[in-house]
Amino acid sequence: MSAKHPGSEHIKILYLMSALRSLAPMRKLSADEAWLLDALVLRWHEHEELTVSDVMSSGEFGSQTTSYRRLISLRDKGFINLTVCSEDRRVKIVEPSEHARMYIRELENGITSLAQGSNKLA
Amino acid sequence: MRRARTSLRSIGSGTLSSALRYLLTFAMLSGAWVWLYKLNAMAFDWLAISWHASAIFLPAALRILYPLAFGARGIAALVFAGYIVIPQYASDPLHRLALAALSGLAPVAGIAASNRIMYFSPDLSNLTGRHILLISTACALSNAVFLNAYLWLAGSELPSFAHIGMVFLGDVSGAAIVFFGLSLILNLKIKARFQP
Repeated sequence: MSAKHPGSEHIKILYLMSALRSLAPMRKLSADEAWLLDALVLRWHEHEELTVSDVMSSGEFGSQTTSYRRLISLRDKGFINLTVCSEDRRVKIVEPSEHARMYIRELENGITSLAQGSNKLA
Repeated sequence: MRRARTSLRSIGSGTLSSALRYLLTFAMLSGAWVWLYKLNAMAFDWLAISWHASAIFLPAALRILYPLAFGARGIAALVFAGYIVIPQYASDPLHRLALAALSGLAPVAGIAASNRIMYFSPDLSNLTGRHILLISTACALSNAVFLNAYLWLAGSELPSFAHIGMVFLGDVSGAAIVFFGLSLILNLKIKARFQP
């Protein structure tokens, strides 16, 4: 797309907005949240239905209170959805949001291009 | 013949709508700058040490956004808007024009310098928050230096470091307020979309 193309200003504005959004610290995941998200990604990949209780009781992510707090933080940052189970309304299921699906796709694309790059080098 | 007339008409109407769109964008950009200038004057006039040096200058953010997003049109809007707001401080039209031109062109030097230090592509595809911070600092510095240099050459007293520093501080703080505010708004807007 040339600089004189009418759509290029629109694209520049979108890139500017993306750069501006990254200024606020609220988008960033803490290391613990990123670790939890990666663990959730693995469970989703294995098609396991994951509930909030499963995460809290696993012990992998700290105490129950800490695990719950990190889940809520991931939800507030838009990475997961906590949906009520249709069979038991007391149970909440942890599902990936569109944001998390984008994150997974980015990871896949990154790994694929890395693999392709290393193949070319070899 | 009819086909030629139709195609000429469509070219004419396409050119007209393109020109109208250009003028409308130009008017909106200039208007936004003037509005922010007046808002800054209302809110932070008490922080000013002179008419062109204040501890907070919100329109400095637009001096960065306009050239980046809109190129020459953005710079022209800055110059035009600067020319509109300056009259109350300078009666000589040439002096006003020079100050307005500085307002639009000083950021170009800052952006060019930033690009040398930390490259970003012309379409801004690799622009990050760090680039924004660097560009803000560079533009504030270029504005402070060029403005005070011009004022001195135009016959004012030799500018003090305090005065240069105040212009720099005003641009940096104004840009920071606007950019972090925009960043929060954009993040909250995204967050609201993702709420279950």
